[in-house]
Amino acid sequence: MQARLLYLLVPVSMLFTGCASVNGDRDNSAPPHAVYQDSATASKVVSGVGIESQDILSATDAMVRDIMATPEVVSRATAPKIIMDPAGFVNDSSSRVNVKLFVNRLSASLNRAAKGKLRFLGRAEGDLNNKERDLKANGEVDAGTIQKVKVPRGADFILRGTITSQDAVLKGPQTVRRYTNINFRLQEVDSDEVVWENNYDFTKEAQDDVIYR
Amino acid sequence: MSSTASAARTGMRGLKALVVLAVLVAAPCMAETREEIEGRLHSAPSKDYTLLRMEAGLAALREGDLPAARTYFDGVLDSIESIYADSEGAAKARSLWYAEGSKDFKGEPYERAMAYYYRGLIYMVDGDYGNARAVVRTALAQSGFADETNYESTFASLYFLLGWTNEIMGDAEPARQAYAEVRRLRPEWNAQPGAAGNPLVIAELGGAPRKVGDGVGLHEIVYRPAKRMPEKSAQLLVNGNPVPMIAMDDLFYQSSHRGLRQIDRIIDGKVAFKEGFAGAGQVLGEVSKVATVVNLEVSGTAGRTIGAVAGVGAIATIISLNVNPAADVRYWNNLPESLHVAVLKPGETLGALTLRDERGAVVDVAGVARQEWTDPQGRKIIWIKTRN
Repeated sequence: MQARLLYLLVPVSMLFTGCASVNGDRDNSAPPHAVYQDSATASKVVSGVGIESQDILSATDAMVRDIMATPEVVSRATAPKIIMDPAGFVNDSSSRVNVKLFVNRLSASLNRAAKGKLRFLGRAEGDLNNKERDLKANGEVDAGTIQKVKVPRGADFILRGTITSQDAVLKGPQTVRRYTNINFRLQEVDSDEVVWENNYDFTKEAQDDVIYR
Repeated sequence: MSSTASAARTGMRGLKALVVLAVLVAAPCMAETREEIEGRLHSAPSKDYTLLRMEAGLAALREGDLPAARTYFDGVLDSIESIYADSEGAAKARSLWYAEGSKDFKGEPYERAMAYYYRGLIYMVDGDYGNARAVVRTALAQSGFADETNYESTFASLYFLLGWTNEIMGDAEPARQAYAEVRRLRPEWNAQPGAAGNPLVIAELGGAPRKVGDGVGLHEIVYRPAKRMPEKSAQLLVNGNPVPMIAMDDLFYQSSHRGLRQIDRIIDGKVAFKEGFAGAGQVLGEVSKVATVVNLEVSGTAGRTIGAVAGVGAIATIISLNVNPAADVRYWNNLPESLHVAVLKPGETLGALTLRDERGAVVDVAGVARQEWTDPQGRKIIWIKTRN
């Protein structure tokens, strides 16, 4: 009987002692290849309460549709000139944001959808343009194929944006709820009149695992 | 003659050992160099990546390597902000058989707040005050996490930077509110709104608060201040005149006054489980010993029962030995102990920095790093760190 008990004890002991030492903390398996993910949907693995790719895509798509449906902007006799520049976007939220993502995506999507009904001025690339203009003016390069203008074109509108947020934090369980508002507006340069404006809002709530609380 | 020489050699060896011991005791607890940290980063388990990135980012900042520091701290903030679903490390840390240190490191609230603070400094140097303000806000939220639901952050440096960034962004009222909070926490701070954009001097003195395991199975985190780093206050020479820097924050205080964490309740449960099984194993072991003696008296008829009792006792002891309630004592070891701030007037010339101990005596610290940055709008930020 005692011998049988010993047969039982030995594997049970091995089971428990083995639990603590299997593979240590090191994962020796080969790393997986990078996998393309859909930018328009939230990650099932990693997420937070900040602004993520799906928010940028949804917000800019919604704004493009709304601007294209606004006759005061797109149905003018002469296509208006618009400046879209990161300097016109202010991050007043608690999220780290690269505002260039909003500006670049909105600019490209609007430019494609407008098909000439709107014209965009690239002020951000001014340094390179000025250098090229100087080369032309000095006769170091030829005039190119497009008709020369005396001075660069001026803008009719500036697209502005403000990102704001309001956090609610439950300190003990460390639950964070963040309401984010992204406000876009098209402002006429000469009159300061805002001819178009829209919001994109969302709220996210998250709580980390208890081991981080 | 030979025995005298042998004794002399033995004496010399003893003396050398004493000298080595004395040097070790007298030397401050030095953090690793950037090269050493980055070396460990390449071979460390993934659960330690965030910790090592924190240390590498700060080491890079100390060297003035902003691109590297930016990359490291972006990685750290991504990790802190991510909510991990079904993480294997998290499951391990909750289980009876693994220590809390099995989890991916995100740091305690004071460490997370400091990661945001450093990223905020880099955003300021880059002239991106919108994102600087965003990370300072998040730093304040992180530093306010505590089990006490009415706990409020007392991180004066962060309120100061919130006021500073708001002012530069043109938001006067939020700036005024943030500065008012600084004056509530540090009444000696008398700077008025309107100075944002002037040269800003931040000095970080001393070494990181240490986490030490204590109690049954090292289940409790006890914080200790850095050893043998006497600098407690800083004085600047501005236009030839001594100007004291305002002591804004003490990280040892920030680390040690928050009380229990929610994970501590899980760890307490592990300790209770461990002690329960250890007690049961001991009792059953004693019972089987006594029963063996009694068994001899009753002609050995109870042998099987005694064997079974001893076996169950042994299993209980093995279970108890394998329960691991150790708390996570990994810590960001190149953080400073204290943060000091001064705002200069435009055009003022900054001279030498004088460090003093808590009695006011001048302290000489070798290798103090001083970085001077100018953001794209021409604002100067001078950042000083006394230790690596």
